[in-house]
Amino acid sequence: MKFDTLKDNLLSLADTGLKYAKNQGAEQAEIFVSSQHSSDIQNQQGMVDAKDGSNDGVGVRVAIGKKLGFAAMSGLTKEAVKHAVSEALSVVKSVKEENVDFESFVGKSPIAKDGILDDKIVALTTEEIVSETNKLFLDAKNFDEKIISASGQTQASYGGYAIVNSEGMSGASLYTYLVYVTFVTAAQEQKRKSSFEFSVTRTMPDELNLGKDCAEKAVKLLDSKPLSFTGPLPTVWNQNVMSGYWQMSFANSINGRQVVEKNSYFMDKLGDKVGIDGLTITDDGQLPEGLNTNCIDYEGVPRRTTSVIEKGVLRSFLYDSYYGRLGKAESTGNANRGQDYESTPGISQTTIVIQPGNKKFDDIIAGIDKGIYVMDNVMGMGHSNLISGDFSVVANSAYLIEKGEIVHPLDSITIAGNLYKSFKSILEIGSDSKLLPAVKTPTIAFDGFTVVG
Amino acid sequence: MITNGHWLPSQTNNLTINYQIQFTRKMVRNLFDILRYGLDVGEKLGADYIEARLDDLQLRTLVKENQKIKETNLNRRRGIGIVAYFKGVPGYSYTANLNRNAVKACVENAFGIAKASADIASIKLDFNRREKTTKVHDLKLTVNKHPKDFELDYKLDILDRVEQASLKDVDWIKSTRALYGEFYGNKYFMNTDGDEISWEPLVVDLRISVTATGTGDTLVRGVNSKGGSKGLELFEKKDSTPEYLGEKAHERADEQREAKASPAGNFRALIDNQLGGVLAHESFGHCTEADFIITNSSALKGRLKEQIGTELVNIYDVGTPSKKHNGFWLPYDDEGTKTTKTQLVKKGILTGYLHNRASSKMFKQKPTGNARAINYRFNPIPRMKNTYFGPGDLTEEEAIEQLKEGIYAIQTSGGQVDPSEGTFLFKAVRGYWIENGEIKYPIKDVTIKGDLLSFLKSVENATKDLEISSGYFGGCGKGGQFPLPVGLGAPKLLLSEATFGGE
Repeated sequence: MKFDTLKDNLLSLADTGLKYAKNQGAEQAEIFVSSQHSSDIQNQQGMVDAKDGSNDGVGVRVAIGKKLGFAAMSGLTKEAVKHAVSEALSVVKSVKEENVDFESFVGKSPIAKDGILDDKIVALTTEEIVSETNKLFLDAKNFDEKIISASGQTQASYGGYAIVNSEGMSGASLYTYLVYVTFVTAAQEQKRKSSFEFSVTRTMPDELNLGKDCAEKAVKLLDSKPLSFTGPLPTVWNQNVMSGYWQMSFANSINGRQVVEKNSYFMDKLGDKVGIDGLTITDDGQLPEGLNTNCIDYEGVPRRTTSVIEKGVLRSFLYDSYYGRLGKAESTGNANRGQDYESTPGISQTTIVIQPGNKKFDDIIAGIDKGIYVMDNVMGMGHSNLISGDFSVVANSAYLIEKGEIVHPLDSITIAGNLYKSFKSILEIGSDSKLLPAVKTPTIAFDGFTVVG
Repeated sequence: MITNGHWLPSQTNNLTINYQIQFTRKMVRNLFDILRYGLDVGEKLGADYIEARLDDLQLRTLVKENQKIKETNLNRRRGIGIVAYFKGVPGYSYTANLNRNAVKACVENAFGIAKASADIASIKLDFNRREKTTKVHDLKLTVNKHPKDFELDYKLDILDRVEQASLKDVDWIKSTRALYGEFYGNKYFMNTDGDEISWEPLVVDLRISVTATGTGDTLVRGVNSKGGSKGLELFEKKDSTPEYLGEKAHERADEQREAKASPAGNFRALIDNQLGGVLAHESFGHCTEADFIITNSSALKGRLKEQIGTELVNIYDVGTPSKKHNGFWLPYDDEGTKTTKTQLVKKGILTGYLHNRASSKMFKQKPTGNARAINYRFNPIPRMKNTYFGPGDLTEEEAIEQLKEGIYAIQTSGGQVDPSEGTFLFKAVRGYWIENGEIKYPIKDVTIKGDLLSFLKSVENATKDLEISSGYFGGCGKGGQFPLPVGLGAPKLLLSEATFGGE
């Protein structure tokens, strides 16, 4: 579907589905249609993977009384929409059990703002994307002869989704984004070190040096030495690793469903001091450049900015309409669909924004007598215990800090601590905020994690 | 030949069934004709080689939590994918629209992006035309109870039974989660070599997880699952009934309540079939995928014919595993190559890699049929089929006896690997501390970490009970294609040393 008429086309198709659903006996129905066009080019060490296409489909929820059914179908034709409606109805008619907590799909409400759209991304030609990808690859590959493998990848994407339901909701949201990823492996004798860099933006980014930056990081890591130390140390985490850290910290603890089901560490701590005074965090579904910024969420509630932690005090959880009702709160516009049209809505963060402090990165390092600087990916963050908050990660890209200076890279070290308790042991919040796909964060320094190396 | 009958989704509702028939007849009658039309368009454009796939896959997910239905989802993924080669570079495009105009645009896209990329590719993915072409239609497994012939309420009943069996009248269960998944459908393949293949994949899967409160405020879990390319009769076998699976999960959770934290450090170890299977796949298998080898991204590059493990290490990757196992049945890959049983490690020596057509030519090795795509929206890339460690001859008791002192790590909740460095980290779900060749007490929070080559060189012995499993939930992820159904397996492996993390 063409981008300039996408919104109208999606809405009209969803309307067709809604009429059909009512006609077929659905008491309530919700039609979600989505179209995402992507051009993906990857050059990995000279081997090229090139793909171009549009992921289109429809997901339909229907309700008869408190019985619910869902079905999805690939494609955006009237036939596909009708097929999904029919299947959802056949599901609901054979389900015996009611979803007693279900009331209704979301009603009509005012619509918020979409994020920035960039026509230049829509207009990119295949040749331009190929050439950008190759530059990224060559910058990384040619940086140093120790680079044994390099990869450059570009994804140019645009699309949108529309939701129409029987309760009067009708809306659509559009997006554009451009992704660059580079991955490098450097080798020296038996040692191998990897590094990656990426950029994800809703608009065409300014001049980037991802390939060179990534290669430089990997090559530097080859000089790693053992830490030979076990015990608590201050650790400084750059924005890339903090992005994963915050996502894990908030995936469970402020998720309204987990609060309702009593799996959240923070469930009884609203209004309590959970972090240092300088810690202020919002979930910002209206940040214009945010990747998850939309005028409506994935069930039709307007996106908004929600204060999560204000000066260290826990202010709010994140809800969709279903768990908002159960949690005696209102939806915060955080409904998402993990697999787009193939999923029913669930709760997730939009962009977690950490209010920056006023210390520059160099000043943070300068204030540390002995500590660790962690960058890039850490292994095992995804396996943290989200109930208790305990985590233990292997950092393959870390540096030793001594007497206020970054001294040398380290062989793999293990860092263990507690995600939730760490909010109170933050030493410094940097001024260097960076926007990542679901988080906007500066560099953060923590005290008290156990380091083993 | 294709009959319309195959395409009818099971329906309970007379109102909608008329519409379904009209829909399927209209769209589906001449599927191979549509694919052939795509090939013709591509050849006229000047593509060197083209292949066209049509997937029509149906996925059902049922989730029950704390005795409440959470999800009753049905997804149908239907569409066409086109690979067009130009000067050794494949371009890929796809469409969910099955009419001629959409297919024509799709072929033009695939060819256009291949042509635009041809100049930047220094590695050319050429391969020889087939000496012998394949014409196979409607290849399928014979099962007694195909899920497409059973109504939703039959499956909801299975889900209900597994959850009920896991509950019992106790006060320490915090939550339960039961999952049922099924995946089946039809895959059609055609290329300009003259291959013409259609077959029907099938997977069913049943899982149960019990979360309980342990000592202190900790939460512990007991899990159980059974899945594979089987009909629903799988859940009638003695060790696979919903009742058996649920009760076992309950017992495991109960045992974990009193478990001590796993000690940290280096120990002798025994790893069970499931954890061993995941290590075969994750830590080893990915490193043999030819694209990782070609791009210098694998720790096993340049090690063919090298001794990488002890003499007891035999590792295979097979497309159509024996019926006595619960593997994933994959007769042809997504380049139309017949799958093989590939021995990757023989008595500790690395003997092969996993190939697509281009890499098998590049390495002068036989095709293995490992080019796979998760659905029509993705191009085929080297992926595993059913990857497993070959069995030894010990019983479980003998293995524990030979372990003498160390950790018995069981099942896994996942982990992470870096194929370029060969490093890995996996969480076991539970385990035991072994002393004097006997189980002493249950342990929890068991994390095993290490690197591939040390791991393979530490394999000291193996049991005879090879188990291979596959499933609907979870699966393999690579290049954005997740979760691809794969089978994985192992006997129980006795390791002379492994590194465990603890608190």
